[in-house]
Amino acid sequence: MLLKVNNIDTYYGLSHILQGVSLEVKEKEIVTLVGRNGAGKTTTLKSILGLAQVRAGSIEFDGQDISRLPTHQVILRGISYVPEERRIIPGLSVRENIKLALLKSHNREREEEMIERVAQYFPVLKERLNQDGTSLSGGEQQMLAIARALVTDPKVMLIDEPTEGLMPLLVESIAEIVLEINRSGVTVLLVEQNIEMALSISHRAYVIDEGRIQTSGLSQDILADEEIQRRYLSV
Amino acid sequence: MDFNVIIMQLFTGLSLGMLYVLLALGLSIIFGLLTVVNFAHGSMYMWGAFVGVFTVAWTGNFWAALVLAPLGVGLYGLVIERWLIRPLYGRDINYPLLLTFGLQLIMIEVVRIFFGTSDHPFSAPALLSMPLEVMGIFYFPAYRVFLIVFTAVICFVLWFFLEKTDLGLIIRAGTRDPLMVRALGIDMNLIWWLVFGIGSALAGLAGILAAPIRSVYPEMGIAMLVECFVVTVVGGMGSLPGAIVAGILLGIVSSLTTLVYPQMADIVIFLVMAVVLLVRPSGLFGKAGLLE
Ligand SMILES: Nc1ncnc2c1ncn2[C@@H]1O[C@H](COP(=O)(O)OP(=O)(O)OP(=O)(O)O)[C@@H](O)[C@H]1O
Ligand SMILES: [Mg+2]
Repeated sequence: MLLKVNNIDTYYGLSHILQGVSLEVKEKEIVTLVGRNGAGKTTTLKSILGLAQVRAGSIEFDGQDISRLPTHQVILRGISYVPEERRIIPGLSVRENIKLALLKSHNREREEEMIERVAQYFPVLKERLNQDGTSLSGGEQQMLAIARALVTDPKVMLIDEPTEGLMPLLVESIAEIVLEINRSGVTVLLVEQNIEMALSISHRAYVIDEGRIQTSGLSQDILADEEIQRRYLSV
Repeated sequence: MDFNVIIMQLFTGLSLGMLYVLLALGLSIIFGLLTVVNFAHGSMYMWGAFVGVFTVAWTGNFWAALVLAPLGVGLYGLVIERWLIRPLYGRDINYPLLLTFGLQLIMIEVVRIFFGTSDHPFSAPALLSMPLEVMGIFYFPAYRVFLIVFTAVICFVLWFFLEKTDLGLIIRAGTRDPLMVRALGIDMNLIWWLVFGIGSALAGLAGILAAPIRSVYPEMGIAMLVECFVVTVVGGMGSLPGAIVAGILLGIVSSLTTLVYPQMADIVIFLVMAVVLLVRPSGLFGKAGLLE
């Protein structure tokens, strides 16, 4: 098991958000976490990253407990993060955004090589290297956010709503990219609002609601189960 | 009025402005990244001047003082951040403000206890004590010329550091989105620590540079701190170009006012602040990033 979240309780201040969430991600899998607005999907990812306060339970990565580690050390162990709303850093060029991700990685000295690799996935980024990252279109910013997470050769990528606000055509190409990244050997934990897309590209899925995992199984089974869709996923 | 006198006063204003610039840069870089309003900045400036006074008393060497003052105050800043300010991150921003406010009082008191309340004479190094002649009409004190050039060099070094180095990239990014920077594997605690040290060192440097042209006494940083807050507000909180432009502007305005209407000299910068805030509520350079 590459990543194992074990019965965690997560709080924002006094609000108790996650109540005993458990999930597992095996090497080379795409696992998706689906649920309504406010269900606790982002909070689950933030808990893994040490960005939200986990008060009980444990999180194991590669056999070691990472639940007490500060965020930067979690990242250095081989987890990378594509956050909700992209969070491209304002005032930095596309190149600088990528460089920032490389600074603490073993690819630090291979900036040009990494930019070439990014260009294979996203040719458009290479044309915009010196442009301010936040001046890119929504789709391009999403590509940059994924590129930034890719260049460190992570073992696992945590991807939060990569298709939010994108046109259908782009949604499809982002889905394709996630598949491709996974085929290159990167394990993926994906959070999505676009349930059909997420379930169709992932191997397994967890359904979260009100801070608890309600059910889990093979993605295709969950996609086929109308009862689950009605109870936990319809708006 | 004599043209000569105006030029001289402009020049004096520019050198005062440079002290504002150094202090405001320190305040702004700390505020921009850590969102800490450092009320101890004025007493760090004062400590820089005292380190200078004692280094010169012992070694007779101004240049040694010019190195030791920023170094000593910078190290002091590192200690303060690590053990007093860091435990307050994640709480209300008033906590570090109150802490540094108290620290300022303690720092002043410590100097009073050990060195008394009187002025400590300090003269510019012999090399810089003659006037420089320009075009046979103007005679600028060499020390002030040095102060202006030296500060300009420091500004350039700081710009280069922030724009062209990896650490500078992290600092610029951390000013905009510290959480995302952490999520890219960077230890922001370390960066905050270093930047507090750098900001403190700049205050110490301003102190030693000010020593030959202003009086050195325990309370010398109090009014200076208030003036530098005005500079950062006029320039735009957290903006480094703002700190530079506003520092020079207010130095010159205040010194020209001394010439035409000395009674107003102490308050004119507040008037400038009021006017700027009416026209541009977030200061001349708004609030975007450190270098904007
Ligand atoms: N910083 C915060 N402080 C307090 N409460 C928060 C905070 N962030 C999220 N919450 C609350 O925690 C709950 C879970 O939020 P979370 O962001 O994990 O939901 P989500 O499943 O990612 O939803 P969405 O699909 O809208 O992104 C919500 O009720 C939300 O209001
Ligand atoms: Mg979310």
